[in-house]
Amino acid sequence: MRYYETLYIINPNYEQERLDKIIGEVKGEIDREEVTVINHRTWGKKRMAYQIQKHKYGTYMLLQFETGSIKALMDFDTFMKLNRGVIRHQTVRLDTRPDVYEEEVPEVKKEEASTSEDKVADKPAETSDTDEAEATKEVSEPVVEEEKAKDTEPEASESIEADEEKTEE
Amino acid sequence: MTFVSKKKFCFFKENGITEVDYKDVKLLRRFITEQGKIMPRRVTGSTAKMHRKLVHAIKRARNIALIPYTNSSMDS
Repeated sequence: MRYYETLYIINPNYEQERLDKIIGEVKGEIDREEVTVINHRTWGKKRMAYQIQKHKYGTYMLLQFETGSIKALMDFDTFMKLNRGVIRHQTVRLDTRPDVYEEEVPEVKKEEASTSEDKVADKPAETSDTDEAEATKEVSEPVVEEEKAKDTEPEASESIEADEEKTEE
Repeated sequence: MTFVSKKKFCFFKENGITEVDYKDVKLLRRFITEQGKIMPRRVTGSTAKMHRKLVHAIKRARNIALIPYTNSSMDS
């Protein structure tokens, strides 16, 4: 089994729906029994060093996979050549197994979780300290509701007071 | 008057780089001229082994339009 990497460029004028469709087609073509996909991700929309089919920009996609079948590779190459959405592609062999790419989204989630924990800490905590991580998600929503309720309450009371003042007058 | 030439060194050896990735455009741009030509080894001072890897990577990057074949290609 060998590791391969395909970098391909999709027409930059395609909207997200059409882009997803082409990515789905590529995924459907490569996803076979003898092929194991390791990574398949968007590398980003970049300005190309020279124009290809009159396009100045291109959406770069990175696909890394493992296979021992030459036929699968040849078929995939033919498919990529015939696909009109793909304006250029290049498959290279890798010496070592590529790392599985993890998106940076989880880090953001962690930050959000920490902030929500702070919020919970500020409030009189009803939850036990042991299951904080699990509890935060459940608690975070009620906290917001409580805040909203608190925001609305004073206004209501003020309005009542104002009404009372008016009646006194 | 004596001229002392600056000691050349292999960039890859200095930075402990053993493999050149064709997707690392920032690194590759260091070794191409303004016209997009690959700099000779006598200029860069890189070892023969690393220069071969570099040339390979640059040619791959050119093929997938990450770096230009020539600098005038974008103007046309």
